[in-house]
Amino acid sequence: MSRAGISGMGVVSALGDGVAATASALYAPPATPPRAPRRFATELELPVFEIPEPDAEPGTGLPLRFLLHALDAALAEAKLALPELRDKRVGIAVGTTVACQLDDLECHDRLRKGDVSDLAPVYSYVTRLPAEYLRRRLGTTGPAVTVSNACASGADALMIALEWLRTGRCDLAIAGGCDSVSKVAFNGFNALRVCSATPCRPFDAERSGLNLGDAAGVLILEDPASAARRGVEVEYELAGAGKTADGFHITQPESSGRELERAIRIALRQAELFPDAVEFVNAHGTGTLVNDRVESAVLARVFGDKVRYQSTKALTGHTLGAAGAIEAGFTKLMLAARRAAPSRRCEHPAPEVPTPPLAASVAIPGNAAVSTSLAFGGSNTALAIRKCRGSVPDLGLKPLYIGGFSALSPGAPEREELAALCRKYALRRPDRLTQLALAATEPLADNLGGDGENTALITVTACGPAATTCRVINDILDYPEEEILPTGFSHSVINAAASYLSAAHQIHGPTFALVGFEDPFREAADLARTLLSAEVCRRVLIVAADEDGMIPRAVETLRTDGFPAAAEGACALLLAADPAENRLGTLEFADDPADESRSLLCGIPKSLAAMLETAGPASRSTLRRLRPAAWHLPEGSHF
Amino acid sequence: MNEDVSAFRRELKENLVDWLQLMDKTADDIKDDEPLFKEGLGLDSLDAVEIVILMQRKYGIPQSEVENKREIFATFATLADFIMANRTK
Repeated sequence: MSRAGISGMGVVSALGDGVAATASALYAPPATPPRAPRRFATELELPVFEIPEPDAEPGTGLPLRFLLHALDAALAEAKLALPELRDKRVGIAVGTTVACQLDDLECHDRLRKGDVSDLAPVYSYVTRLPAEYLRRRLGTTGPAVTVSNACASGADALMIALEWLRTGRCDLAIAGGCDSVSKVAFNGFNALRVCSATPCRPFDAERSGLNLGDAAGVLILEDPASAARRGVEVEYELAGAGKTADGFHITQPESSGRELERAIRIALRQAELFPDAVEFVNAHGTGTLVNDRVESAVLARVFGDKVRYQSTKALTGHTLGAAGAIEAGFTKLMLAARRAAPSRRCEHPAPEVPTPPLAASVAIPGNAAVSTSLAFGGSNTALAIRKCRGSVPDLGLKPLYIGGFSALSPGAPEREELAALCRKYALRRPDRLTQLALAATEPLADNLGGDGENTALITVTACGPAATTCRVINDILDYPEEEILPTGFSHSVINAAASYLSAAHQIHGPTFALVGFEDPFREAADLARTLLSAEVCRRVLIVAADEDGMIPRAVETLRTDGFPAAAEGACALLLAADPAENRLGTLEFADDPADESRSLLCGIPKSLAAMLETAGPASRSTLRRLRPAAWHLPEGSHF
Repeated sequence: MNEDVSAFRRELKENLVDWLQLMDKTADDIKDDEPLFKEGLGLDSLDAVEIVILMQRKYGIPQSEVENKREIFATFATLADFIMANRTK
């Protein structure tokens, strides 16, 4: 049982490299406006915030290199060397969007022509998902999850770390986010018509959209007492997190902001803060018409018309999966400096914004602040950071009851069956992965019980919406001088299925889209136990799904462990902490690795499915670890 | 209605379902005189963006000829007639 004290921080963005540079640039920003991308050719005249690249590491993509750079700084500030880390139970949570999808256009073009002579990018993709890669590189053994909840990913990674610490699941957590401006995201956001052709102006009357940006941020979280033993004084803690789902639309926030408001209030309650104790809010503030309108209205509702807030995205751009992590870092730096920074480039606050953002920096007497993140798919996250409390309530891990399990049988449902489900839930154009997830969940629909605010959703996948991603990349390759199809892009984000499922089943609790190749299904079940034990929700629906496609097939050719997975399928598992929801007995965890087949790339052990088919309320099912997948880089491939 | 028009409308309905990957509709559900957006077929503004892009790719109608001409998108029939009259491929 620990508080999540912030003992180390690493951050790199357009505001600067490192904590010192960032802290001063918040008040005196560098005069470097965003400019057209330099890293890839494009016809689109849209400014972005690119930053200098760290030293090259063969086979390692840019987001992960930014992350490693920030991690080194964070570990140094926390005075942590590798041997000390390996003595602790370390949890690793990383948010990203770009680093968990294979978006190498040249590789993609080769694969679609049947050329498999160089599979190095595919090998990098499966072996360098950020959280799994860090766990291997650091040699730690605790939980590791890569969460891809679009623009809230970085904040969500911090929330996961907080809940691990609150429930004693780990002693120390490394949590953050990373992303870089990629051609796919750049074309995709342009297709969605949310990019500004000029430097972005959050909350301004003339705002016309966002600018993308590069960044990574890492926080080391641990109990202040444990950091003190290394001579590290911890002043601030991540004290609360609230996460909710609109269950409304895949790209638009619900216009009342009701669920964002609920997320903020949950974070405040967990952090034991009244709204008037919050000195300022680092807002999501992307500069799009809808975000800024809905968000500013909610901030005024929760904190009153004197609310002090700023968006730092005018200085960093929207750094997607990194945004929530770096902005939590900025929030802590402003608290430590006892000064809230101004919101830049808001010269004429929009009339629909009830209280304008801070026009100048202001001294703050108090010790607490909030950072908000709003993502695609109506996923809202609020983090509360405050001066460390003396103690926090003690929570332990609770037993897990299985409220239902369902798996698609081989051959998957027919199109007509899927179409009937789409009509039933009024989903017009869901992508294939969503359809599979929806079909797997359907037998559990009645067990979900209508308590949407207290239900969490965790989706799990290895390759995500693989066929949709291919369509988006084909679009970029085949029509280099044209816009791409916007819905293709919005369906290629990893959390599209979570967004549709939350809308279909009116799930308004936390939603996490996890990505992994090393037992992510088990990580999801483990996270469900943490969320239920922390009383963040009353039940968790886990939906694991993978779809067939060129990329998953290429991935399978690299496998050397003899456990090929089915190309396509989905399953759903409903877990609860309340014995009244026990239908299939308890779920327990065993740490010895199992040498056994998995039924999907994202790793559902076949034994679990078999066990649950015959389980009843008195059953005890055990989820064993899968032996880590082994991958081979074929001859001829090179980084 | 002459046969060309009726055959093209049929083809376009099937293409729309396929290109937009509409799961809750079949070609038969698209009525000629029903509005495309909102209460009719239920398409939204991003769908409109996609239809404009697809008109260029599939029928060779430049986007500049379509932009800001809302009347083209009034109903399925107005869209089909416009494409038939202006297609270059």
